[in-house]
Amino acid sequence: MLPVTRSFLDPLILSRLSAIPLHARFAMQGNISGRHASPHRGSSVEFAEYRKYVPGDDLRRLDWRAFGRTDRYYVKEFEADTNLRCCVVVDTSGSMGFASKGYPSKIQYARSVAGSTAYLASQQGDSVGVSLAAGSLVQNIPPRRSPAHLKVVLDTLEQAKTEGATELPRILHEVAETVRQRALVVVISDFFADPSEWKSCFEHLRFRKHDVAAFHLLDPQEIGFEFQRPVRFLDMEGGNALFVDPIEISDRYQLALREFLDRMKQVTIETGVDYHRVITSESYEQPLMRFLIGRTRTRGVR
Amino acid sequence: MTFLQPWMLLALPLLALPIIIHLVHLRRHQTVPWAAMRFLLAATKMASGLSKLKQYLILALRTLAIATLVLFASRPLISGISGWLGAEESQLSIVLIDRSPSMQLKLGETGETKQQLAMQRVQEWLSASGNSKIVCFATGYDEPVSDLDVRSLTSDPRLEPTALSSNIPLLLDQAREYIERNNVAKATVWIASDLSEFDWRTSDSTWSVVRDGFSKTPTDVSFQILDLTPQVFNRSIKVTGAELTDGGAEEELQLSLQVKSSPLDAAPAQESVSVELEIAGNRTAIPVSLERGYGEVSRFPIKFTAGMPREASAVSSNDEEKSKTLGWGSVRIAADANESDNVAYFTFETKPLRRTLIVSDNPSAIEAITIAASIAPNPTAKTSSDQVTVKQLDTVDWNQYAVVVWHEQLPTEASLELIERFVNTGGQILFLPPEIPNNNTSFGLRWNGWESLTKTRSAEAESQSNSLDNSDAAVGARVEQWRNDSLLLGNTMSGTALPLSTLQVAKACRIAGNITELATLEGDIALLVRSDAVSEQSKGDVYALCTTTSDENSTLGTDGIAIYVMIQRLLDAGMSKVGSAKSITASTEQSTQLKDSQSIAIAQQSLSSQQWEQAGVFSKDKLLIAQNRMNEEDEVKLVSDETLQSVFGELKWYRIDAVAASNSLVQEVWRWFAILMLIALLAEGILSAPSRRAKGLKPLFSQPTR
Repeated sequence: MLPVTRSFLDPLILSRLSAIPLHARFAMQGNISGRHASPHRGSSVEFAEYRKYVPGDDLRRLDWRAFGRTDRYYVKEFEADTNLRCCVVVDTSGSMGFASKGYPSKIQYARSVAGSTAYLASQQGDSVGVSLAAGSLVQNIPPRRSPAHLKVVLDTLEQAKTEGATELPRILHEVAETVRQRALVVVISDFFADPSEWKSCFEHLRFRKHDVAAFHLLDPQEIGFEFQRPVRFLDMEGGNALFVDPIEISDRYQLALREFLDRMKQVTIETGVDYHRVITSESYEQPLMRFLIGRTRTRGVR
Repeated sequence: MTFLQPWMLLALPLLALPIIIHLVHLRRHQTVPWAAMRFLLAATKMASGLSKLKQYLILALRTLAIATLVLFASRPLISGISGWLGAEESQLSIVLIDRSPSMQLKLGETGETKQQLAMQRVQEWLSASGNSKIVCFATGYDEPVSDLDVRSLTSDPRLEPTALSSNIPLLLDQAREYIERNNVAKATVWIASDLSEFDWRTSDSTWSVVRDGFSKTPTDVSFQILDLTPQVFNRSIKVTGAELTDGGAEEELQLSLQVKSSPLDAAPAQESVSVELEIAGNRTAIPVSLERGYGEVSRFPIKFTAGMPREASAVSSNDEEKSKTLGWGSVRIAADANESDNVAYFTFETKPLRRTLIVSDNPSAIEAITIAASIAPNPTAKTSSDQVTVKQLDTVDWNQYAVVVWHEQLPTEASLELIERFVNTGGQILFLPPEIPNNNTSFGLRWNGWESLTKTRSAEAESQSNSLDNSDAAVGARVEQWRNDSLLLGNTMSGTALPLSTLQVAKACRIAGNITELATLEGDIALLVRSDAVSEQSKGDVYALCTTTSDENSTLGTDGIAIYVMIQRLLDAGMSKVGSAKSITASTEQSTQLKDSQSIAIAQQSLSSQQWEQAGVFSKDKLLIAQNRMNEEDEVKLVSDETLQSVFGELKWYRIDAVAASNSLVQEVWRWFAILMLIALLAEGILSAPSRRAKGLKPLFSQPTR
């Protein structure tokens, strides 16, 4: 059962998503035993290797059968399973407030995706934290694994407000440095910045051995750009307004958008980011389902 | 350009509508908060000047569509390049109408003559362009035809065809004078003529006056020449001679006529044309065979029987003339393209006496002349001479005499007046020196006194002077030279020179004054002179001989051939004034001759009061006058463009094909505006259509359903 009901979370969707575990694509470094592969040897049931006994090793771990056969001392080692730190970064810049008629705003969508991810991670005993980023790091909730912490995370998400210009690339660099190594970093944004900046910060995160997943939110109107009359476009991030005849520039807008999306795709492939392009007109269950299933296939990489 | 519904042009401010809508459209924008500004900025940066140009082009096309719609509804009229020039209502339209017979040629099957077509075209164009006030100069008028309106241009009886030949440069000069007199700022001169070289008189000096006058005038004048050139096959007839011979009880009229086709090369090689001859109400037909378009009948005999009327009694007064025959007739060919040249009129009469009046106090001194004037040159001609003194001049009936030989002091005052009147009407006069000449001057002539030209006869001279029978007679000066191209001293019909070289003049009276020497004696003494002081309107000539025919003065009397020929030639020339049957050609210059005449027969009955402009027979002052068109009207030679260029010089002139412009010079061009509007709308539609997605640009995402 969901500890606290939220408007942006659908219990039915969550229950369906709960059937699929959230795996990290890489070995994680948790502090307790969990579902995720760890780079260290541990006490799981999965045999890892034999190692020569060195003085100081616990004699209880000597494999006496091997000693009986070979007359040498070997210590039997097993893989360690650990939990993960899931750090959800939500872009709360002004542009995330955009919503076309009949569809949720990007921030609402982001809440749902972030909240669901946090819930799923929390449910399987992983630590969950959330960072709200706009012009600066608006709010940072470090990952913890207590159920009470999930409430804090969800409260934070609920109270998130879109405002100001985005400085997400800079904040991601900050996150890369502040979050301990080998965490799952989920970035939810419209990524309306130069792809080269994203490349830089994704590389930084990957360098810190984080497993980076990106949910790229796009509104249907931003893709379709279907206006008939001249429109005065107000920049939601505080820039200058622009008066254009959409009919005149529709083609060129589409070209610019396509080029941007292609470059984003290229950047995420190059930096090994788990990239999911999402249109806010579809249910958030779909991208999350793709996200979880995709991770199931890559599990076991240590 | 003019419009049939100009009030529709009030809708022209609607042109601003697309611009206003455009501006309103811009103001009616919606404001949308937008996240993906970076793409908008990129797209706007990419928007090149071409896009702006496209926008303005669309706006221009919309404006053009409305403009063409308004013009289309206004029903515009144009008339080619020349029409544009003459389309302004403010300018004066001057119409020159050639009413000559050559303009009566019918074009095509519609039966319109060149003149009707030209006037119709001018009327259509000027009516459509709103030019209702015109000034019209026409053949036969010295002043513009008054109170003429465009609407009445084709129906005014004053502009009906005439037999007169036109003088286009004269009409142009009248137009020029009118323009200058009225200080016209801008004028278009429409010339409705068939470009006949004879009517245009391209070698006439008036052209230089016209050209200089129009180039100096501040008025902006352009000339529109209606081209009516298509030639239609046509035949014309003319009478070349109608001579009544005295055959005793039965007189015979010898009629010569010509039938000619035009153009000649279009005529069949052989054909026969029936010519209807009408004399005093009696009609008969003469077949005339034409060879390659030309046929001639020479001296066709028509005998007068007792039943035929002799009209002389109607116009003759004295008993002698009552026996004279005077009549008229006409010849006519079948109707063809030009009605005006299908008939020709002639008059005839019994040949009048070839009468010479000798004015002399001493007739014996000039007896040879009296004899010369009394001998008829052929058996049918009758001659006579009368002698009077100066004092008896008042009793003379001048109309009966063709020649006056004046052997007296040069006339002055009353007698001069009588002589001048005689010369003006076509009489010929020969002055001979009196015995003692005074200082009187008449017709620019003056006697300078007698001079003896007798000289010692040398052996050589003796051998040459065979003609001098009397060895005691004066041996005088010989004729040194004479003009054999002159009327009196010209060669005979066989080309033989007159025997003047054998003449000798012993005494001569020098002639001074305004003269032309026709023959000179040795010692540079004028033998025969012609006065140059005769007025231009005069039809007769004045001659003077430096000696008399008496033997002591010259051998003119003894060797009488020269003086006989001279007197008979003077009689021939002077006979044109004698008699009652006249034949004249209708020309602008002579049109006033018949002004007060009464028409007896007329080719074309017209409503106009100026019937004397028509071909026909007229009676005036006991005269019977047949008036026909000029021969040149039958042989139309067209003025070429090069000649037009030379006569108009630097003036603005245009040639409009009035025949080919079947639907008049003016055309409604609303169709073009409709097409232009459709093109503008189509182009606007194409430019305004939402451009297709750039090549290869597929939808990024399919729209999912929720």
